[in-house]
Amino acid sequence: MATTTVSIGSNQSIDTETPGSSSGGGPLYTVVFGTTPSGISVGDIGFMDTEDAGGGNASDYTFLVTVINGSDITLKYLTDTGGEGDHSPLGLYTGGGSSGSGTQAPMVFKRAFSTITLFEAMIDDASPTHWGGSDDVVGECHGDADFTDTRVYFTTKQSLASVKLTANSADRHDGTASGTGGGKVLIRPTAGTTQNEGIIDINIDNFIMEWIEVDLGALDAQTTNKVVVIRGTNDGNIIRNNLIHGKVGNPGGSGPNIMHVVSAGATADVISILNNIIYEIIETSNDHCVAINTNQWGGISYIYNNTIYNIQANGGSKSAYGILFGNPTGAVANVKNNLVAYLVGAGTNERSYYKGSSGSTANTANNLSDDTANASYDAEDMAQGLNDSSSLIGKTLAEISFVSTGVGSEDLHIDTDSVCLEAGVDLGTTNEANIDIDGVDRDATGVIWDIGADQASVVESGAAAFMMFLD
Amino acid sequence: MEIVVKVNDGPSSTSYKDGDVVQAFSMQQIYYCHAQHKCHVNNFGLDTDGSRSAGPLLIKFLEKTKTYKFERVNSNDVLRTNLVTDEQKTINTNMDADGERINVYQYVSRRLKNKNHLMFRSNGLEYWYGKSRSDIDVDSIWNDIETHTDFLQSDHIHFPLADIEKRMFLPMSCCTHGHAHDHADLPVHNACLDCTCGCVLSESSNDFISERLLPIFIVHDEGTDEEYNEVTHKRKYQVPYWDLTSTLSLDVDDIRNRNKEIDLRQPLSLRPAADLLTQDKIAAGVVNE
Repeated sequence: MATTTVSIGSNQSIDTETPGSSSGGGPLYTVVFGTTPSGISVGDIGFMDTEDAGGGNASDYTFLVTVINGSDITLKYLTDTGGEGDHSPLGLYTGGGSSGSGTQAPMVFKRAFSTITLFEAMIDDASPTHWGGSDDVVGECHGDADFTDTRVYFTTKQSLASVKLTANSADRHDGTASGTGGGKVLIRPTAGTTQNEGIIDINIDNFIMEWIEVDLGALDAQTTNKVVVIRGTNDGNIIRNNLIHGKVGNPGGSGPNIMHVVSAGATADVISILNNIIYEIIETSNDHCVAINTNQWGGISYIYNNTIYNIQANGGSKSAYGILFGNPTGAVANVKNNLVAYLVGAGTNERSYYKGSSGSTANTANNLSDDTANASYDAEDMAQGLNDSSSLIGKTLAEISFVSTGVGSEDLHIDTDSVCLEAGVDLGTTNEANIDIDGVDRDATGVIWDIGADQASVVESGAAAFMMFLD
Repeated sequence: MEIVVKVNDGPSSTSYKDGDVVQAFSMQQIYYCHAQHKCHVNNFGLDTDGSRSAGPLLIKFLEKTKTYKFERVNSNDVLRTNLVTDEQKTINTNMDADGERINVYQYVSRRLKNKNHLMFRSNGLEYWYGKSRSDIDVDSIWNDIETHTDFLQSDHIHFPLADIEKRMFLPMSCCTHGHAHDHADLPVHNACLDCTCGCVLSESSNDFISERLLPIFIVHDEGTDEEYNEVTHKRKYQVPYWDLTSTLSLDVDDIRNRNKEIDLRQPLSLRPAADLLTQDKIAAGVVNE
């Protein structure tokens, strides 16, 4: 199946250049421009306002940038409003000149979509123009300006094989909050949505959300309480390498559930939540507060290498949860290498890990809880007396040693003296579990895995084995 | 405000329907989007030492959009200043009673690896800004942009939609009409839709705008910890543009022709009444609750 990448961003005048030469046959043309376009990316649109030399037959041509190889820009013909048909960008004219010596039209480069909501609306369209009906579609966000989408609901993808929402590699977060105007891909809604709906709400199979920062800081007085909701049809959903933070306050009747799976799924269905950072989620109005909640999921889940920090509930019997999972009897939850720290709940209701029932299957290893967790709900026991001896429990924030917990400048990478260093287990490469919050490939570099979303240690597994041998 | 309206029904029962208000933008959102383009980090180069050039527009932008300024004062200490309250605190590698610490060397080193960093230097010591504000004064930012560049806020009144969005959807603008005068002799709907009403026009409230994007849903397990919503219709509000052909001089065939770009966004003085243009589908009997 083909993969089609389309850009999402608000820059509708990235550059304007004039084609100088063209090779290849329709619909793919490799074009060299008089001046190589700057700032463009695969997935951007090349737009040309054309008329025949001397005037007439006006048509707006749209091309999709599919490959950038130095000065060679490969463009795919998509549409033209005049119905003139597939044509190379070279030889499309402005209307100036005369027959046989027309004036070459310039190409204006733009983003394919301006908002995530409108991208989703095209995913939900029976006649897409930018991709084939059975493609793997990648919506690649750019940090032109904040995305303010309040709720994007992926309800159907027609016959598409998969949908991915990601960030252009140049505009990804670096594991810390960039905040508004930081030039990174940031979803920062300024208006709320109905409670219990996700900002990214997913009801389709084979969906990936990755490398997106979500700042909830403008929603403190709004009822928005969920960022990612997985509901209904969700086999093959992967939520990875995202950075979510900053909800302080909640006027609604349900507390925050930042990543919430509300569907049961089939027993063979798989979801993966990998290498995310979630922090500063503070309920202020008598509710529980949960970072990752897959409690209703009855299929298979992989919850690997997430970092969760500063989760606060509010009210007499309310609990703060790091990872809540595994209620249905048939559920199989794989929970490994996660880091949960600084929970605040009522009394002893600090629950770093909570396995919803004794009947489900939990494969746990090398998770960490700090000294705020109640012993029954720490990384070792997870509410079910699991007695996982590979866990690290009772660690202080000083021992975890985040680079910065300074308010407003949080950096939840781990410092060089952290107990998380080399304390994880190798989880392979399935669904890119090996890619940390900075894009470090734990597998390719051969390092011993750390706990949490950040891979700080560079000690290679072979070297460690040698050291252990010496011991 | 500006809205983007779905044209033609989507293919499935849960898809957007013809006329649904898919997207809505407040004028503040639109102005702020353009302001971010003008103040984008890529518009400001790096100094020879690798720090970001402290252009006055960029610094003003950050000071109006961030809560804190952080200044490294030596190898270990960072002074944090709250730009709203002027409150200051020093943090360093030693965790304080509030659980705050920072390894400033690690912090700065990591930021500088990213080409889009916003790490500045003064007298060899780094400073940066953090935590976005929720009360950003967009007009003040535009005042700075107009001071430091040739761009004018008045030239940036429309959201920068993509071309395909203008062909496959219907962009419109609307606003609140204040009925401060007597125009009872005019047909109210038409007058406030084609702006022959003489009303006082103003931007719609944020609550009004966000409400246009609400879905229709059923609440399950209400009051329990497992409460969730089932969306039955993606949008509660629609613009029945097919009924507005004469009032707004629309050609439905043109709107539904994906080869034609129809953009009905207008200057503020010509914007129809938002509460008449957008219609609650439940109240109108289009769908059941």
